[in-house]
Amino acid sequence: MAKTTIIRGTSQYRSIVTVGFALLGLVVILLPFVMSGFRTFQFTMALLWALGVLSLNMLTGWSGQISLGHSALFGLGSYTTCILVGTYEWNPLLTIPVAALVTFIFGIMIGIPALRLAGLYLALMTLAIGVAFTPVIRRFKEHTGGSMGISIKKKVFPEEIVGLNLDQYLYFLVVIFAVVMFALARNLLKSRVGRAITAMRDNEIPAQTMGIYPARYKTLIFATSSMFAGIAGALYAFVIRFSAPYSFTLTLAIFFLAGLVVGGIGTLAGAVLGGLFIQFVPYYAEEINQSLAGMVFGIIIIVIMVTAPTGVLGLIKKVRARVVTVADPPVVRN
Amino acid sequence: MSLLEVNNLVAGYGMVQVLNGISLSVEEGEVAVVLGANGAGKTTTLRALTGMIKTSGSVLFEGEEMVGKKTDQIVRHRIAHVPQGRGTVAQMDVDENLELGAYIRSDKAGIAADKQKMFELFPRLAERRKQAAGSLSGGEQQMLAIARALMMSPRLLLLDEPSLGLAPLIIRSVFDTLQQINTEFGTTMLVVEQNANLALGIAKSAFVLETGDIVAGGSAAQIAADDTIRKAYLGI
Amino acid sequence: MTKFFQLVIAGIEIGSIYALVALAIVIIYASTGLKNLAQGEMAMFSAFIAYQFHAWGLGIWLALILAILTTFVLGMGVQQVVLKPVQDSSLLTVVIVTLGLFLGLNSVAGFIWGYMMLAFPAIFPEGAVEIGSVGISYAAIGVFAVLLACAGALFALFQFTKIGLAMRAVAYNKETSMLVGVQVNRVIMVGFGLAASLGAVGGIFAAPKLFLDPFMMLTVLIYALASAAFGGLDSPLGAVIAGLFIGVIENLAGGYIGFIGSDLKIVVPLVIILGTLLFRPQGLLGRKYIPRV
Ligand SMILES: Nc1ncnc2c1ncn2[C@@H]1O[C@H](COP(=O)(O)OP(=O)(O)OP(=O)(O)O)[C@@H](O)[C@H]1O
Ligand SMILES: [Mg+2]
Repeated sequence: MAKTTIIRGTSQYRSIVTVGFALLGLVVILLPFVMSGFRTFQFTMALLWALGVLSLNMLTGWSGQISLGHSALFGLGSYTTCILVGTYEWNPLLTIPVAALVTFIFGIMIGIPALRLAGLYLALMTLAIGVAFTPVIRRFKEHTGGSMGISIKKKVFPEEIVGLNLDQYLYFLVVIFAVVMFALARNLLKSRVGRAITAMRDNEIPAQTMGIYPARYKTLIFATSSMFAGIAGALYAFVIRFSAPYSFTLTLAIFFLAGLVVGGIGTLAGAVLGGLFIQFVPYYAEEINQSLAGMVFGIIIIVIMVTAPTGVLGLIKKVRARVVTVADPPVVRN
Repeated sequence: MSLLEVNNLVAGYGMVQVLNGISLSVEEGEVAVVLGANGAGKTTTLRALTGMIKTSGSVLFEGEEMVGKKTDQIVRHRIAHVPQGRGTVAQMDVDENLELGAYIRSDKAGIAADKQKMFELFPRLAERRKQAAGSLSGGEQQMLAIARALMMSPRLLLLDEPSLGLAPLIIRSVFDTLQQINTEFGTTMLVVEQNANLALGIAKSAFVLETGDIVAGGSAAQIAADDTIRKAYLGI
Repeated sequence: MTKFFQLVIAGIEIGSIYALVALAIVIIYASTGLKNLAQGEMAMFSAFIAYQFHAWGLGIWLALILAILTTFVLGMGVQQVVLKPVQDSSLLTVVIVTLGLFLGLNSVAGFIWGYMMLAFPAIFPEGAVEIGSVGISYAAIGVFAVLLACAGALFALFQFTKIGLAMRAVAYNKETSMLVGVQVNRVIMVGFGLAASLGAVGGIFAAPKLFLDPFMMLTVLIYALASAAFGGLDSPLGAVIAGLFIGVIENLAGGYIGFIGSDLKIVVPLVIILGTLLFRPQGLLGRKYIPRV
């Protein structure tokens, strides 16, 4: 079979991409009107996990740093919203910037010492943060409700908003945030800063000679990644209307990691695949056995890392490469 | 039959082929040298002989095929290899390095006796028995590396550029010691060197390696006397 | 003063557990440069195995010895199947794989034994030695003695045996080890089995105190990692000292600083990890940290 070659930047390439995105957009918009409320809720959750995976990807995929504290950051965002809405009766939407700010600052606080840590030690420190989150939340039970958790009353959200029921409203809210955050992430990656960060991952010494200061960028990426996790956590609080210490354990951090590995480390679209994976695999697996999801995740992490470190997206690209070649336009030299 | 007979040896790293089928042989009891410039494939040759890289062709040692065996199996035929850049364990002391050298042996008495011999051969090591190998001087480290290799009481000793990074006077003494080892213990050696004059001085036979091919071979005296070879390949 | 000594003793008891798991981590790190984040889960698994043997009617000591031996084999298996393929991969890959192992083991334990806390039989007799007003339980003495015995055996193994010499050599220099005839892969495998067994000892002796459930070793892992970092990742002696030290400090902090109490004790290892990394990255007794170029 003759292989087609598509060149980036040509009108052919652009129209394929446009049609692709249009179709995807159509599916995304129609989904909550065709699916049941519960299915819609599941897809909302999948998107939230995708945002969690995205936040981890910014750190792990781009800068090669690992974090096992993203469950805690996600939880911190969720608790911020729950406390502000539940205890102080804020408008939920106004809590999102607060959650973002809190986790951003927290990210800087972790990021600064993290600068001095080689990969192994960073894993260690964030692991400790991930594990410490639950007892720390329990300790401050005056604010957090301790082991019982803290909830948001359903009535803070109106029954119907612009003609959408609550499930649909939350779905679209999360979709909008996801689109904006993915776009931001993409632009950040393509920016000077993003290129500097990936350059540092690949080798720190040349980055310095390029006039890039690893310290500043590493802290920045850590803080941004934390903020993304925090925003995802705040949205989670909208959807679940409840925060409990046991929702944000190390297991969640490893699930994010699993999503990352499955989707493909370093890819943006992979994060969405990862989110779907985190939502739906346990849902079906736990019908069979409570432990099955963990086993499946554990085994999949190992198998993928050993055999196909580029994840599902990498495999898709490989398969696609059999059919069409997507090439960069030839460079014209003067 | 020669002790070591290499036939059409091909080896390389990943996709890159470095040795294009070389052949050479080493007689029991002699010192043979492989000469060649930087990047000629000298180190690669020794690494191929001890199975440290992917290899094809044939390496007969005492008539037995070595190609396809793992390094530790090859070493158990008592082939000692002193790699380029020493090959001692820097964090361990002199004593422990020597013990390690005798890893494949189990004759406690023999090991102890050989250790004593090493200290006679290299008195400087005796003074530094409890010092970490990494803290020895370059020359002392090379001596330790040789001693470590001798501790397995090798049938064949492979040495990769023993002169590398040493001062001329020290190089002299290392080569004197090698000669002494050859005459006293009758140890067969295959020495890889850039320093052609010195190496030819102690060798009986010699091979010239040039980008993965043996371009000349014969008795050391013959090679040393051949002006064209000297000019073309050895730069002397 | 009685309270002080009582806290110190409790600290030594739990610190011995941290030290055992830390020793396991250090051995693997020293021999392969690989940090096994699943070390705690492997230990947890061993404790369940011991529990199972006991439930099948074996005496507790026989059960735990069998469990330790089983773990030795399992540890070697895990190394061969899971870690060997990624041995030379990037740090990130290795860390992720050990986390996969973490999750997998945790879930398998949950699958077999459930998530309810199980009581583990006492290994040492009840009661305590009274010195003045301070009571030292037999369990505390026993666990500490086990730690000393393990550390002593390990020391002897490394210093006086051929396999110990080979293990150290492999840790420092794989190429030279190969060239003296060491079967490097087999040595690494045995090292893994050994580390798993040490962790198993930690898990099993922790079990009567912590109760058995798939998450029992989670905080122990953090303390053990902190001990390993604090003591020096490549220093077994450092791991022992640091483990005991952290156990004691944690108990004193929890006992005397009201704000910390029992929930915030977990912050202690966090602070210790941070402090170590910032002020003495090679740890108390570790070799000077040499950045890889
Ligand atoms: N690990 C490796 N991977 C890829 N190529 C290698 C590797 N090691 C050596 N080479 C290549 O193999 C060729 C021969 O190298 P080798 O080390 O055998 O040379 P040499 O004769 O020992 O040189 P020198 O005198 O500098 O030690 C060189 O072109 C080198 O670039
Ligand atoms: Mg060389």
